Amino acid sequence: MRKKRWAIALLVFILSVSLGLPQNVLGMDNYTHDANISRDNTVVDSSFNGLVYNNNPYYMEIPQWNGYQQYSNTTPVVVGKQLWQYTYDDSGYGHLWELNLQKPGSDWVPGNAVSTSVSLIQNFDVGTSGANGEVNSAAGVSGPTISQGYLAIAVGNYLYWWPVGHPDQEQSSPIGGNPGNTIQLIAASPLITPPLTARGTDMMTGDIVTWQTPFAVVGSWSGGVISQPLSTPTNVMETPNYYKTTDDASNATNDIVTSSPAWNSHTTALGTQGAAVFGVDAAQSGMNRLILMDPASGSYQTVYEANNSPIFYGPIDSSPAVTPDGTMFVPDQGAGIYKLSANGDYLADDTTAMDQSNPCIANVAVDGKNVIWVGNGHTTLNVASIFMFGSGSSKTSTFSGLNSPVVVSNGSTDTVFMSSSSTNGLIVTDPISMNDPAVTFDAGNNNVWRDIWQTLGSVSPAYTSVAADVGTDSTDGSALHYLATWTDYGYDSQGCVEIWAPSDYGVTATADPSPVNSGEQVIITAMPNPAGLTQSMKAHITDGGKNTIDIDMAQWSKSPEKWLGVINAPNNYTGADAHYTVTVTAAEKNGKTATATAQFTVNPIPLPPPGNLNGHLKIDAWRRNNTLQPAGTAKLGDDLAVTLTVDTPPTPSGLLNAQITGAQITKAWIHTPQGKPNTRDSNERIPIIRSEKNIDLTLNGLTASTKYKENWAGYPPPIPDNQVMETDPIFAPFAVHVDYKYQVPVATKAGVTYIWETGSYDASGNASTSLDITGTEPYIVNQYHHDQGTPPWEP
Amino acid sequence: MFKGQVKKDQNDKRKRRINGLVVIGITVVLILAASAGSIFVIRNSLDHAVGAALVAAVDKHSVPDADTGVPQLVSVPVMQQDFIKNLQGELKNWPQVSYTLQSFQAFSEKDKGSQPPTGFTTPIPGPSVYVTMSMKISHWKIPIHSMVICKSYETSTGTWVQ
Repeated sequence: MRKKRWAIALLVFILSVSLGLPQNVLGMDNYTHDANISRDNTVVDSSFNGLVYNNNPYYMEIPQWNGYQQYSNTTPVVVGKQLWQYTYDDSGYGHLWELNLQKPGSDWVPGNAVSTSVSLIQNFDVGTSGANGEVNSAAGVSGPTISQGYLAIAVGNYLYWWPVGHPDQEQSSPIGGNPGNTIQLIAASPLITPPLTARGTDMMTGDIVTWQTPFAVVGSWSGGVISQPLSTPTNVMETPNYYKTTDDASNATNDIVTSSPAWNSHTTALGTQGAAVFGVDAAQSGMNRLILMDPASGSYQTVYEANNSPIFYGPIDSSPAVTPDGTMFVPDQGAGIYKLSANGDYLADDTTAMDQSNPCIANVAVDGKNVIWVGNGHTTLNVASIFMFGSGSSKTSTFSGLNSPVVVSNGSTDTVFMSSSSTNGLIVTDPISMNDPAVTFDAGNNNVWRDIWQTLGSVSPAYTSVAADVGTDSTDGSALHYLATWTDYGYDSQGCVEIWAPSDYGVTATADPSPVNSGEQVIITAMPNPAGLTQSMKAHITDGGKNTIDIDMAQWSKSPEKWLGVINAPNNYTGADAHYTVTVTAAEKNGKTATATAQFTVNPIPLPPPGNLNGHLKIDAWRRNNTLQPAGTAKLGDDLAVTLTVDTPPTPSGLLNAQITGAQITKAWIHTPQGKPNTRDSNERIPIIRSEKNIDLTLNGLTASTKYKENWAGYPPPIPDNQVMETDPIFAPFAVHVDYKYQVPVATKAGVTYIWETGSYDASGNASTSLDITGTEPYIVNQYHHDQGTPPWEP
Repeated sequence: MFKGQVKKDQNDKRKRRINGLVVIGITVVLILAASAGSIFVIRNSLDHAVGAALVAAVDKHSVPDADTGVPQLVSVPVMQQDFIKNLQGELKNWPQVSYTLQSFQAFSEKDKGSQPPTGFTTPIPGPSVYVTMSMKISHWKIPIHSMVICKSYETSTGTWVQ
């Protein structure tokens, strides 16, 4: 909603003030935490080696002011333990906030808001400006500069400053501007120079006096630049020095200064004190130029042509960057980069990433050996050697909305941090060799190279860059190495300072689904943090006992980085839920490891109900004449017809809505006496040798049957018929396979639902009966015969 | 001297006296007639004793096959011992040296139709036991050839298996 209003206001503003303006620009300048006045956007930190960051920021919310949400296009400024953030709102006020930095608290969760000390330092009531009051003068992309004991900030049409820590001692000076240009909008941060010799008049004596004081130098959308001594002796009158774009160009009313001045201590173009260097967006005159200005005297030099030809192809909206020897690298609006000597002599340019029809307003970074910039309409990152500048550069692309690069150098490698206004978020490069950056940039096609970048996921407003490797703990002063930027819609859609903290290498893990049935797949998912560092990952799964599984995980996706491992849930015969713990161990490329645990539960495999299954054994003794012996009795020689009948098995206990769907005997036999005539030529007096034998039954569902002979016991006459002579127990052990179905809870995104599952179990039983032996069907009659052939006596 | 045959009946004493008279008579006859034809009575008595002892022994050692009903002779060596034991009971008044078991053979269903042992005339009928003995009475040798045929009766059908 606000953006819409802002966009409309901006559009009206453009139309109203254009007056032949060739193109509208929003200048910007931001810088890293050290407020380096050479504007090289490079932080030198020899300890910066392989730091990795959380994938999500901590959000430090900037509260609403009088009900107005706060917005910003300004990079946070960090000096030591304090972070300053300039914001504005729709009430026409700008605000400066101060936050104390500290180590992440134990309750800080990346991706969430954190409670921190936020102090409102100053309010700036600047209202609106422009022909119809469309421009919110509190807007802009200016930010404070803290240096030399002073804080300076430009808002609306004023430069404000005060000694650091004493906003109550605020002073201000109007910046002024070109006659006819009433736009009170600042897009630059002041330069605070080293102490320079200032001149003024002692009001008591009338003498000209000199003293040493830092100067603040800043330009305005109005076309004016002020150079303000920040301290003035008592009773001394001095006046700031001014530059207006109309001073050195005709028809330059709407030539504006949005370029934050850099300090060039090596230039002698204006004397020996050095000079503030800033660019001009010659929106009206077309005379895009660089100004070297002596803050103390106000004298300036215009750098415009070389060999009677314009040096700059496009408007200079951003800050020049100055190397330690005074060489200047100047970006224009179309990402043409120009190399000038300390005195402003043209040396070379690089237009390999230049596209004047596709503005790319951003600062450049200079690491002492290389120039690093974004180009091609905020889509490419480029690097070129300072020494060989103009003779070639390297480029990587596939991004969009890239803001100014910020370099953290450890002396041998650079790590480049860039926020973006696109979904590329905050981008961090792998270390780039300072001596041969092309090796990194040309290491392969862009897609492969892209893979080693971290996309941390912030969406920043245009022009908002990153304060990288900043901050010290407010308690113990230890270095925090934070990354800080701003987002208009952070946690809870509030304007927030985003802080990324260095991350201990970590990993999170989940195991799904849970609960799960034995044998079904369990997917173990692990997400290392930060992404892009993990070389291998293993998972150890255990129930705390002897059941363990070890697997190697495989990378599944790169953004977000996920590693997967799949196992089959171990069989759980315990009769109760089995709880498994998954321990994922991720190994970083440098050997560092991190672990995470997850749990899953395996449903029990349903167990047979306790006790044996019930079965009934019936034996019919059939005589040879096809009649039946009385029930439970038999005689030798009878055919015994055995029938086993098993009761329908019960459902497993502990299951929801279990139903038997099928059951059949899988094995059954009778255990019975058996006998055979003792035909062995031995001295045994046993006519029938008995034994115990198993005879398999023929199976048919839950019944089983067979026939066999009563062959082990017979009692011939003269025993009384049907008298029970012996009773023999007969057993029928059996095994049954039972199929059933039941309902189980399944965890889904929508909650727990119930599905039918099938299961089976095997159980056994032992049916028995006894058989009374009452005689024998056949019996022997031995008849003596006298053989007629008996020979006669032999005397 | 012929001392008579042992028989277990109520007229034992009387028979013994009769036997004594018979022996005396026989002796007289032997002495007087010296004829072999007059010893049949003695032989029949011996046959009876052997038969009783043998049937009793075979009864104890024959069982029907449960499947076929066919008699099976079991523990034949023990059967032989039982036979001797039984015979000794039958001939308890005879000195053991007066009789000698010459052969004791058992045959099964599979031997049916085979040649009988020496001294027997009809083919083997099936399950059966053949006994050859020699009795010695005075200076006389009396050969005994006895056999038991085993048959099986199926009660449910009222039929003989063999």
